[in-house]
Amino acid sequence: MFGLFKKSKDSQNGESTPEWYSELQENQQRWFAFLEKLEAKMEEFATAAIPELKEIMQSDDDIYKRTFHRVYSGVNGQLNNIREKARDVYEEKVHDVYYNFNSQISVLSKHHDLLSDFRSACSDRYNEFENKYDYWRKQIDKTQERDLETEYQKILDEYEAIKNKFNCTQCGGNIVIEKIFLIQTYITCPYCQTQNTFAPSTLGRNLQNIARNLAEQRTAHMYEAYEAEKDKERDLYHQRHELSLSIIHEKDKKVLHEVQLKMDDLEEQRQFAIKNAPKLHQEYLRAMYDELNKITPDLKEHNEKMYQNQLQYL
Amino acid sequence: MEEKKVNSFLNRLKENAQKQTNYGGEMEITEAKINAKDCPNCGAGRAKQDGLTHCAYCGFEFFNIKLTDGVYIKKEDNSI
Amino acid sequence: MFKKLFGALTGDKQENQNYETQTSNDNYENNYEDNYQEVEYDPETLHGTHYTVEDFDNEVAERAEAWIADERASGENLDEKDIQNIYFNYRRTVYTEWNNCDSDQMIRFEHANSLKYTGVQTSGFVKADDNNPFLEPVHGVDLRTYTAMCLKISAGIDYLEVCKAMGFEPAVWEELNTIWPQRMGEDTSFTVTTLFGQYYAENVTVPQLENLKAEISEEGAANLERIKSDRYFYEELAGARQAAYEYGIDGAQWILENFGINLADFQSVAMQWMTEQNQNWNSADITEFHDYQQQKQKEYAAKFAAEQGGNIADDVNF
Repeated sequence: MFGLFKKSKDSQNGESTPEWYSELQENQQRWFAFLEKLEAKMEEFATAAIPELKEIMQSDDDIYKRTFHRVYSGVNGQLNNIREKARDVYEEKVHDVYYNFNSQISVLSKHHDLLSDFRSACSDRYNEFENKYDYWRKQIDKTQERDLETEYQKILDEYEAIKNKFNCTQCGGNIVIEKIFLIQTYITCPYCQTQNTFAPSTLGRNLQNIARNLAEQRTAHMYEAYEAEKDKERDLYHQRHELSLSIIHEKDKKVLHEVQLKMDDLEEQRQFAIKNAPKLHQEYLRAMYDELNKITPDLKEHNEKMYQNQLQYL
Repeated sequence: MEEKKVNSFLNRLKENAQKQTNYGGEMEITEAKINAKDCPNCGAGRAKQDGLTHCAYCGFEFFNIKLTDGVYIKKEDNSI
Repeated sequence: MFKKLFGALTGDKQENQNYETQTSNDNYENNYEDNYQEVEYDPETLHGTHYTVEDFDNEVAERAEAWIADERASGENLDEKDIQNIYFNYRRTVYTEWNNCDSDQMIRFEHANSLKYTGVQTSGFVKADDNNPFLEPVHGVDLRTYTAMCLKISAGIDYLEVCKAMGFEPAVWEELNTIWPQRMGEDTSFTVTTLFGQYYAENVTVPQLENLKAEISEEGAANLERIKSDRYFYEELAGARQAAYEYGIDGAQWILENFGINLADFQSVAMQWMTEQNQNWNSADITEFHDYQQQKQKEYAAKFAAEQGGNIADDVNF
């Protein structure tokens, strides 16, 4: 026991460390510094890009926001480029180096720990980098969010403004546009029965494109409630598991009993969450499709079929 | 110096994105509009009583398909 | 619109492919001897002709049910998905055993039978069925004709021209272009989507539209012929297109400007290769083409980066 401790201490002092250890140390040090620089670059780039993207989203008057999407795709391309750079270096300077030494050094060797420590330190640091990448990626994703309520309001306002302003091309009688039409349609003149073709504006046609996202935005709180309920299952399972580990060596019957009660309670909560999550999911879907039907009543039949399909996968 | 690289990259990206042609050309922004088709055969306006596919007056065929129940156009819109 | 459709179409399949490539690679090392007994396969079902489909299904059911009973007896809670997986695995086992075949042949068999066993269609194996309500013509226009119209429009021909050639007004086209995509969404077997893709791959046309030709340069026509016949060239352009997007360039427009190939033709060829790949599944080839595309994507990325003054992290080194 003491002997072991002494040796590992020695190795840390560098007295009996093998010569390859310096290569590991150097790689680890460089790896950390390299990721730090990449992270700084990523942060600098993302913080500069995000306000730009937001501005382009506002100013791009193309209905599909194509200029925005090109810039957005280019920004993500750079983030990817940074990520790939990290991955390539990890492969070469950590992964390959580890396996190379691992094939030469026996697991039973007293120095093998140095090698596994090298790998776990480097891969932990790598995970940290990946988390930062995910974070920035999400921040950039958010710039895609459009103010759909405002866009929807514009469509409603336009409809109010035009609904009474058309006249029959044949007899000049007033034609009332009875609702927001999503695509071209034939409207019969109430006076002379002529079939007029009504073509909605670019703005009005866009209703079909934004409807689903708008309905989802309006019911996002219900989706989150469902997600939270779904996550509870794992969470409660782990809590219960921890408790069960904590009493492995417990002898006191009273303590055992108390812990058992807590565990039973957690299990009960877990079973409830398992049953409740799909219910919340269905409630969300119903609410979302109700909202969608309100926005595009003309597509109700289709929307309901989609709802029925989704129910099958709950 | 560092700051510069990031900004100049972004500027170039933006510039290039703006000057590119959109595939399929620019989307024309249009207002809502209404018009009607006169029969190319007899010149009459298209009237309701006999559906959409044929002229109510001279029977000229506006289009030669069989209408089904769609979004706004319905089976009943077939001229008899 | 079309891009979105294709995203869903090819995206889905891509995932499928990755999964299947992976699973087939697992068995890759245990390559079967070349001189294994020649099995004759039914061209439709790809079942060996030395047994009946019924025998096969019974064998699978027997083994699967025995396993399920075992699992349940030991207290396992099996849901619908678990049961499907058990059947899926036994189908693979029995097929491989009875036909003494490699994993590529097994995957070809799965593709040919995907609707029967999993309820989902695979491109290259769908047949139009007149009794399928999802395939009923909309305003007299069937899926094949609708696809032909889509092909013309995404090749760059004005939709008004296309309507005129078809002999109907734009209002009808707008209905078609709403209802057919709706059906693709509603049909959980993906028959409509997959068949649309197959027609797209065939570059179908109808007599009314034959005179409408998208403008194509001489060079464009030559390049188009080449991506159809030379898979490597197709993979190169697919990689280049991907790289373009990563540098803020619209890949579809870039291909049109630099190689003279429009989006409709490009997607059509992409579908052709995908269908061909599904029908003649060969994991070694798939890996080869995939790697080649990756390599080309990298080369083009380097070129685009240079044009934009380098990548932002070029000065960060290990």
